[in-house]
Amino acid sequence: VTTDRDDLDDEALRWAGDEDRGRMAPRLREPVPAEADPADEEPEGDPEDDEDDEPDRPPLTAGRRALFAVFGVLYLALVIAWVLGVQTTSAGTTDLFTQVSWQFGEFLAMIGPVVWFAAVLTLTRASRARVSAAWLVAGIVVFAPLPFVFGVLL
Amino acid sequence: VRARAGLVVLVVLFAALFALAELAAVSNLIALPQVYDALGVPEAVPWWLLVLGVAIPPAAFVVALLLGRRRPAGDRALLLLVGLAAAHALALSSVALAPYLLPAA
Repeated sequence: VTTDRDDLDDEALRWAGDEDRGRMAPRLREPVPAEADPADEEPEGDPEDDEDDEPDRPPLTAGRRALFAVFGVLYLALVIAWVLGVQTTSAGTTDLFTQVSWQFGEFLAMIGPVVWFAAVLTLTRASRARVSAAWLVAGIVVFAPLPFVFGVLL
Repeated sequence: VRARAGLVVLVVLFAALFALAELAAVSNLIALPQVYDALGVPEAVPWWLLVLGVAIPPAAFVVALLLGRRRPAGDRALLLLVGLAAAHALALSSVALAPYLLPAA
């Protein structure tokens, strides 16, 4: 009896004709061969340019992974510092337009470290680790959370 | 052509957002000296900070555009967002810093 029921469930959860149309398997089983790559838009073939090609991405090396892990923690701390820091600043006005744009700025400052980190992670993937590290250090300088330092710590 | 139009929309949108940040910086440049005047400390106006504040948004916009050259639209959008966030973070930092530049009263 139970098997009958399972069969019925199976049938209920299936859309007849799915298999016939070849939708059960991915259309492209093989990744596009590497030779096909330079043919697309960028004639110069800058290795940093073809980020959109999943199979082409070089794997993260152990060193690079460690780099991003360490900086990931630092950047997380930056986000927390910004979230706490923006509580101490204010637009200093009741003008609605100023307040809205001020809070938009605060929001961007809070998510800024995450966006910077993501940008370095994805856009310097093909660069040397030293280049990634330099950009990550630069991000900490740019997003130095002075509102937190002066508003909360001091 | 379609991608090109999308790119133009992206750049124009971000140009407007950067302009908003610039507007705030310019209004600081104009208003803060008046406030300091009223407080009787006109010599303490942190001019370098105000001028830096005005210079940063356009600089961030240009750098983001330059770094995005010959990159796909998604990367350009990411770079412009990073630049805008950086400009706002630096502006907020300068606001937090300014009171500490006042002479101890």
